Amino acid sequence: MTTDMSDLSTTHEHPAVEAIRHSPAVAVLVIHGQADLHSAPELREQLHRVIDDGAFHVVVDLTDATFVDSMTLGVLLGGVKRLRPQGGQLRVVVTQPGLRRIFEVTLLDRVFMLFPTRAEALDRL
Amino acid sequence: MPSEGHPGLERLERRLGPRTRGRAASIALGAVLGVAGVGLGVLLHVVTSGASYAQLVGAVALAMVLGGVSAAVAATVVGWGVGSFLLENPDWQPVFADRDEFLRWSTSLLAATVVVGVGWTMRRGHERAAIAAVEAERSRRRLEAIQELTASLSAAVRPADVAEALAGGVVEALGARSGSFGLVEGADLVVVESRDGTGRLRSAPVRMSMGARTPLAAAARQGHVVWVERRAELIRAFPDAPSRDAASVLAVPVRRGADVIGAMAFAFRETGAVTLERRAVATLAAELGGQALERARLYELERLEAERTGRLQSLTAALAESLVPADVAAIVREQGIGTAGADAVAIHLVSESGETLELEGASGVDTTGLEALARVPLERTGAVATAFSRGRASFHPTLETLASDDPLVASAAEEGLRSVALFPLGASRRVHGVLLLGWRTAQALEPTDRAFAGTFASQCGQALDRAIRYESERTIAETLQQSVLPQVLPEVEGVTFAARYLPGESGVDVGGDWYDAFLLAEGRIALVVGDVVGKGVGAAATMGQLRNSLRAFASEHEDPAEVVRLLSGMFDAHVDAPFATLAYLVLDLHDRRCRYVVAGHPPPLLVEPHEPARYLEDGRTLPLGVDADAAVEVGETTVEVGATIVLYTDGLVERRDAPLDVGLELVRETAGSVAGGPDTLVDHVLRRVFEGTERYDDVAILAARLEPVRADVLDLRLPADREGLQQMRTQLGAWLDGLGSRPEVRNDVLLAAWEASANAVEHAQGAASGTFGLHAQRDGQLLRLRVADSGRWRAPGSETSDRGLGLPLMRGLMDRVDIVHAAGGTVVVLERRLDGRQPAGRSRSSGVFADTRAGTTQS
Repeated sequence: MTTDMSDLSTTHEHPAVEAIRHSPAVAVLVIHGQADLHSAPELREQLHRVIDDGAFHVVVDLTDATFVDSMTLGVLLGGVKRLRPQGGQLRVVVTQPGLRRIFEVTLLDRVFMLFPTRAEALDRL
Repeated sequence: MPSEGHPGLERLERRLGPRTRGRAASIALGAVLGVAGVGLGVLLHVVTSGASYAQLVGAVALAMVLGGVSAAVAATVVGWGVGSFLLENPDWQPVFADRDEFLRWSTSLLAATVVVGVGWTMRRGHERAAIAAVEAERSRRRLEAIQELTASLSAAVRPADVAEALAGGVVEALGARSGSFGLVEGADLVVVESRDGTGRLRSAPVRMSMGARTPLAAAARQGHVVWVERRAELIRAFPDAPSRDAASVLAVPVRRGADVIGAMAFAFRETGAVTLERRAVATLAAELGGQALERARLYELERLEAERTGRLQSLTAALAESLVPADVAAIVREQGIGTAGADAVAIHLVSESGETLELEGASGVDTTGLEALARVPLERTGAVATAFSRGRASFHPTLETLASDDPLVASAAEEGLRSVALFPLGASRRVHGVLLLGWRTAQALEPTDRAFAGTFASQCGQALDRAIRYESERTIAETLQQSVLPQVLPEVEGVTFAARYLPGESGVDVGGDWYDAFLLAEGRIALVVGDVVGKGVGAAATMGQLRNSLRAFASEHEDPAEVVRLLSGMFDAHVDAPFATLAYLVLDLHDRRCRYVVAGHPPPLLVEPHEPARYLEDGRTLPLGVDADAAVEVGETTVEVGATIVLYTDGLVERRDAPLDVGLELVRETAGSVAGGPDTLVDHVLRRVFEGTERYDDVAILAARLEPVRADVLDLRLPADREGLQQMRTQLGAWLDGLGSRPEVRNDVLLAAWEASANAVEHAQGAASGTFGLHAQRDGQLLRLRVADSGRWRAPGSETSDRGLGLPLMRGLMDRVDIVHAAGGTVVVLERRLDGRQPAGRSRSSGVFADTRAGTTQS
């Protein structure tokens, strides 16, 4: 998987957020491409929808994400805040060290539960 | 040949001459012969013892032959008287036997006398008729010769022609052996000679002193006719006379009015050749000659006047072209001798201190000879200094009137000048120097000569005055202009400049051409070239006004059209000049967009790499000062990296010998073919365009080339939208790659810059410019980024909670984050070391849950 984000112009299509109902209580949101302020509204909308649809836990898979900015983090943080009262968890799949670093420098690695693979994230849910 | 008849005539005259002139001698001879005849008769009578009167008759006849009629009559009377005496005397009875015999003797004698007398008289009549015929022929020839002389005198236009006509023609009319003609010139006679009555010159004119002991000089000196008729007398009275083989000489003065202006002299081989007739002819010829000389003099004066006028005109024309004092001096030096008709010309100009006159130049003399005059202190007296300080011309036909210690005397002596004229050089009371004219031969410096030399000096003086005043005005204008032109061109990352200003070569006034280049806000630069109509101080001052106003308007208004509109209004309201042209360009270094307005100016040239150069033909409007309300449209183009914009004034493209298109095409082609920076381009174009031609007008040229961005600096200005953010990431990423930064550093920086830019974009929403700027710079291992918006800062997180993570994220990624609020917007400064050390100021306490507003700096 590439960490080169300079060629984004070539993949500059609308970043897709794919929602997968893993189980009645667990939803998976797979983010493709660039997760930035422009994709953040859609991500937020999807996140709210799956929670509203009864998902107790949400796994956000950033394996295919090429870029994540503070807006995306903010949306995810918003998700945590919505899941936390009911005891739900928001787990994040972060494979790339560069993306993981973003969570670390913002200390969000303490807020989100980070997993290197989706399988691990879904385990024990 | 006309001279053929003369020898016969002369012979006849000689034969007749003694009779008419020596009657008394003839009578005496006749008496002697009569006595001798009687004596002979007595002697014969005694010897032969017979009386005879035949002897007396023979004696009378002899007397008649030898002495003519008078002698014969005398012989008869004397013979008869002696015979009678002898008859009465008884002692002498034997001579005549008786009275009858004596009567017979007497009658015979009388008869013989009558016979001889009649015969003689008849012969005289024949001779007189012959003489009359010869005389008639001679007077006809003389008349012809005089007519011929009159004709040749009328044709003579110069005094020298007159002298020749006289010397030749009168010789012929007089039948003289040779003749000479002398014209009084000062204390000398200038003598032309001829010989043989042919009119051919025997020699070139020679000078003879008026005091010479020659008939010619004597006639000129005394003013009346002089002649001698014997060689001995000639040698005695005129020992200097040149005619070696002449016996008679006739000299007559030649007059103009009452003045003797010359003389003519004619030599004859024969003794006593100066007849009344010849004197009359010579006098008549002298009169005709005098009139002819007067005509020739008037003609000569007129010709001289015309020639002087012509020379003055060509001098005036040459002086009109010379615009600096040195040029004027050079022309006076070069043309002075020919124009003023002097042998030497020297010019002094007053020094800057005003204390000395410096020798500026001289011709016709060796300047080392004028050493004494090389520097003339004005406090010293002397003719040169006086001519300057009094501002009056002075004429010195001889230098004896000057003080012996006058430096002029020493210099003139050194250079052999005998007459000198000095003139102040200047106009209307302003004297700038002194003109010296010198002659090697003594000159009378007649009023006409003085007037002409004065006119010459006055022309030179006016030209000098004009040049000096012009020079000082030009110096002021140049200073003004130099103060308006930028001393240094701005130093901007990504642009290199070159500019030249060349004044016109042909000495025309300083023009109103100018150029300017300066920085505007937000990475924009302004380029200007203008031309104020008019020359000199006024144009230069207007230029300064325009330049300052334009700078002020440009800093306030982003739209070039608005700037030009304001400038046009200002021009109308406050500027004296008729109008001005201008090309104004604003180049945005972020998007390389070039917006321009061309107000009546030649179009800017865009030289792009790998493309033919092209003129920017849009954005045209009227010149400033024509119509302040005219519509101003903006031309627009994008300038590639490596492309050069060339602005110039019309002096570069306007040629006297070709239409404007030719000049424009030459510049376009030349500029397009240059490889190299703006300096090379500008120099090459100027060299090519002015190769072999004179530059008549001023030329200002300004070139700016967009350079590839230096590796350690990145300067971006992008639209405040999603596209702009993407651009930023692309370009910053590429730049960071170019720096060879490690991937983690690169990603950290990219993300931090993104966050800062996203914030700027968000703030810029609704702001006027709708852009944001990013300036990245590598300084050793330190990377520094400045992200600027043009809106008002809103604290992060104040709108949505989602946004609040930006600052912590930046802080987490960067070594240092500063946020500076300024009037024009907010600037986020990010710093990060490239060597990959962990960010220094990072600590767990600065996380999301710390106060997100901490660390912002209010400025």
